[in-house]
Amino acid sequence: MCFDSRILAIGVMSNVVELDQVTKTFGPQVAVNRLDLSIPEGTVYGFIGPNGSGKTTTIRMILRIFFPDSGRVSVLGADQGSAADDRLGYLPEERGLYRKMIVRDVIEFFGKLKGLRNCRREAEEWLARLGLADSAKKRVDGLSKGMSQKVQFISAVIARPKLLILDEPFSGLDPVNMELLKDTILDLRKQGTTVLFSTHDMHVAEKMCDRVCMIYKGNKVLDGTLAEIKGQYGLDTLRIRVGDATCLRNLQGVVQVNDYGQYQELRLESNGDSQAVLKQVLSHTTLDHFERTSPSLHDIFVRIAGAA
Amino acid sequence: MHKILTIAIREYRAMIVTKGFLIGLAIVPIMFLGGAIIPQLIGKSLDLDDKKLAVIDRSGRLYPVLEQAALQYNTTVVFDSTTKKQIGPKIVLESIPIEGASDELKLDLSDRVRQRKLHAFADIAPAVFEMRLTEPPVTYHSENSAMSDTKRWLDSVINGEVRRARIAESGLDADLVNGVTSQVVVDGRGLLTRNSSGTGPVQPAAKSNAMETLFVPMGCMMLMFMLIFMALQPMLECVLEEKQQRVGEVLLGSVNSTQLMGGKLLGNVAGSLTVFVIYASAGFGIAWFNDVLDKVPWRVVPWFLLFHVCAVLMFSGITMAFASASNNLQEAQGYMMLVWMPLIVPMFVWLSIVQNPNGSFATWFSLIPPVTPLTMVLRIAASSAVPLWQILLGVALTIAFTVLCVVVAGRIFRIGMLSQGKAPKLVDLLKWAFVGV
Repeated sequence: MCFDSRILAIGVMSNVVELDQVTKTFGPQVAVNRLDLSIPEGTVYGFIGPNGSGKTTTIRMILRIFFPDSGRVSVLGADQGSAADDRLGYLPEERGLYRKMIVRDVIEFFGKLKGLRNCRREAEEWLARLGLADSAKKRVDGLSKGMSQKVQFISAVIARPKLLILDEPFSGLDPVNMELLKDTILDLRKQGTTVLFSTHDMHVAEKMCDRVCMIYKGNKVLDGTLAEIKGQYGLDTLRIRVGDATCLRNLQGVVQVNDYGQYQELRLESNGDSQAVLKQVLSHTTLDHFERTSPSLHDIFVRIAGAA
Repeated sequence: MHKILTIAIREYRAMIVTKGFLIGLAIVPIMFLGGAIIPQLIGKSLDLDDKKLAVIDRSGRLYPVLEQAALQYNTTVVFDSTTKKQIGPKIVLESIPIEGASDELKLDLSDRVRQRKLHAFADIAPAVFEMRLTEPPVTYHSENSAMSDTKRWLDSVINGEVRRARIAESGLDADLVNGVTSQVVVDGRGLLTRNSSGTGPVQPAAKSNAMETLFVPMGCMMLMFMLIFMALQPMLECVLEEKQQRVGEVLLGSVNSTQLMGGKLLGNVAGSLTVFVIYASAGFGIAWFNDVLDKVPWRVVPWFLLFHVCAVLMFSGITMAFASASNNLQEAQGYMMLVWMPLIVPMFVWLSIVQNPNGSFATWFSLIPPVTPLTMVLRIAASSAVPLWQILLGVALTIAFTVLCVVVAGRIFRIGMLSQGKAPKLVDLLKWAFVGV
């Protein structure tokens, strides 16, 4: 495997990325507003937010594609730089591959841009690992969307980055390949790679991320471990399964009802009485299952982004 | 530097190692030179239909002479002397009786020409042998009398016979008259030189050749135009692909915009020089085969290469900027008019420059940077007396302008590659270049 000697130079570091009061504007529009962000080393850090919230701008500032109007962006201990550090790997949301190039050549090309010299062996190992060995000599435009996605992923990780930025890495993948990629990402984390993970899939973020940050309209609205975030909302959700979900409308003490078919979630008023709500439910229909729980990350996302 | 080279190598391979490149290598010269060569080939070999010429000879003396001349023409001139293959149309004469030669008859003859039954008809006045005529004694009628080979033939035969008859009727000695009126030839030659050490004997001046004088400089200019054309098109398509396929964002995540642009320009210049080597080798091969290596303008080559590299950098840089600001080929083509204009303008003025390469127009025009590469090479190829200081000033101005273009284009490129949505206006591009976003 390739080894970047500069990894040694980092030494012990608590945060691989630190943003301190970072602001970026485009004309009159404030894309990112006084953003503070710390990504601890060795974590999978979820970066979530609705479209147009400032995620891509933040990622581009971390990559040194954009520069902040004010504030400090520190990446792998360096505050300044004219281009992305070779220790960074980046998988953008919209795939960027030369369509007429051979798969192995395109991987080697991106590897060389990250400072690797002879990376033919690494390319072949990665292709085999992700089940693409037979496609090594194919042209990129002959690949399926999922295969292209895996080639793009290999291009991002072939140089063994210290910080890996993944923007929607699972889009276009079937469940089997999704699992394969998830295992690979977690394996990279075990080997010391910090992963900044931007996604709209809250279930994936909930399952994979050690910490989550949500950005909304350029401002940070959530930051912490999943437990810390959920702790802010308390046990304000009743998850139930009933015979007739239509009777759940107009229950007193319930702010919102989400019917998922197999089960229903009732969001209670702050300091709401769950027992009183359950009594109302039982007076209308049969109750097969109930549990009091904290809201899912998906619910929290919707509450914040949907409230506007 | 390693990253720049990596990008340059990819760019070079994307430009050169494609089927499109090999096809373009053959097609582009045909496209540019075919327009001049093909009509001549077609004109010489395919127009073999007889040219039927009706003649109203009111003098009563010229028709037999024309018949005799046509017979000789049809047996000699229209056949290749070695292959004996017909290479031109024969002239077939038809005598029209004088009695009925009214305007009505001439109208009938005109109708026959329109119906393609006649090629043309001529009306010869009775006074054709007289001297000091106030009106043209012969009229030639056809659909295209200005450009007709048949008219030139008729002109030559009638003038030869009338001249001979006038001399004879005047009682003069024909040889004496021909000697007295023979033209003095001014022999055009080049400049005298001495060998490179400056000590040997003076070398005789070479005979001037109109074709060489005009077409060697034009050939140099067209070659440079072709090379630039073949470099810009792949650059345009490549940057558009990088933008449309979002490769640009991945690249800018690995290298800065200066490295990216530098690598792309380097690859483009290398590709263009490869095309030069291919065409130049073919040209030298043809010159060697035809034993005309002495006609190759060797002194132009170093300047050609210098100006060519500058031109590719300049125009490729601007092309990159425009392509990065566009969402598709149609949008990019709109901007590209600004690139093509300084490349096309020298085509309109090349003859004026070649006719007077050291005149004030040629001098000043060749010092306007966007047109300097093509026009300065045109001047250098047309004249060995272009002052060195003018060439060096042209080089300096071109390099300065190239640097300016690359820097400005780099700023537009960095922003354009990541911009989406509506294509920016020219004013927006200037804002990107000088203010940023």
